[in-house]
Amino acid sequence: MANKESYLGEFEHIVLLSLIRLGDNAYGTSIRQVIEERIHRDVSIGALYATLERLEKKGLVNSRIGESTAERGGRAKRYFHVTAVGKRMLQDTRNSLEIMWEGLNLRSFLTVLDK
Amino acid sequence: MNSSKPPQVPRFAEKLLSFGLPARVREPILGDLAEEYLLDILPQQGIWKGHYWYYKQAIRSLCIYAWREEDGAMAFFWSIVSFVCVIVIVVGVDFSTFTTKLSALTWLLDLRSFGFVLIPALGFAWAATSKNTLLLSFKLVFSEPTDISQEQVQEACRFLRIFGNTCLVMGGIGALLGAMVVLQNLASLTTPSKLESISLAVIAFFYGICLKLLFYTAEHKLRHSEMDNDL
Repeated sequence: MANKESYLGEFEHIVLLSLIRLGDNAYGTSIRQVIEERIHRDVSIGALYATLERLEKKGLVNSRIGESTAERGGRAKRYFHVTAVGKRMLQDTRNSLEIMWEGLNLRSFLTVLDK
Repeated sequence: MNSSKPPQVPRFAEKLLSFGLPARVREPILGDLAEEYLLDILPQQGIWKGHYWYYKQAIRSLCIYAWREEDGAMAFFWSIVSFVCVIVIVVGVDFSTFTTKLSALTWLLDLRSFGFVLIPALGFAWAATSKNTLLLSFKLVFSEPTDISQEQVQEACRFLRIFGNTCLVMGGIGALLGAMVVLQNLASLTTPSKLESISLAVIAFFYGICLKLLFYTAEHKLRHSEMDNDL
């Protein structure tokens, strides 16, 4: 039986996908912006870092300190990238979701609700 | 001549974040917020909406880390606030009639007793460490210790420990002096001036315990920051 650690939470799932989408340019601001642009979800920077730290503890994400710029007040960026374990976990989650969605069609159900 | 200052992030919110966030995420979070605020939010939304955005980010982020960091800065802040509230409620509320009697609080505020405890304790702690450690300790409790070595943090912890312990001892000496006054003046204890001096001595002990509690918490906050830097 799989334990809780082997599942990705909804927001963890979103953050990992954002990191893969951003590639080498994944840091706090860019991750926040990509989440807001794509799914219109306004996430606080604290919530994002709390999730990234949790993912890092699970070994799904690595981080490195990057360059600092004047508009950041001379503060360094912290870049994140998904590890091989993280990518495997994403794939497993996707497979599980696709299996659960197989044969389901909510369109007719939603049409009834709209009426 | 153009005297306008370059745009800056809201200083107070930035200070709050510096105080409340753990050291390991402080720099990237403050940098990310500054970048987004100065490059995107401020030019597009103006100063008022920009400030609102920054404060919203700061408060939401602090709330998250306040729950995650049991020994962190927010816990330190709330422990002081809750302690003061409890004292005010216990002393300032008449529970028989449920009315406030704020005048009762004034006897707790005595500068002579406070000075009796604090000034010698500060002197002893200074003598046992150094002036630089004294200044560094207060700086570390109330600001970001990112460029500080482990040895400096440990030295600051030692200062706070000595300071707290000496406050407690000075409070005890104050109470002992009060007891000596009682024993020497058993016959004339009803004299108001004598009773007042005993009361002040007991208040000195109360200040000693309060200050020990404060510096004990501050010391553990620094130890927590030190552990953050190790990660």
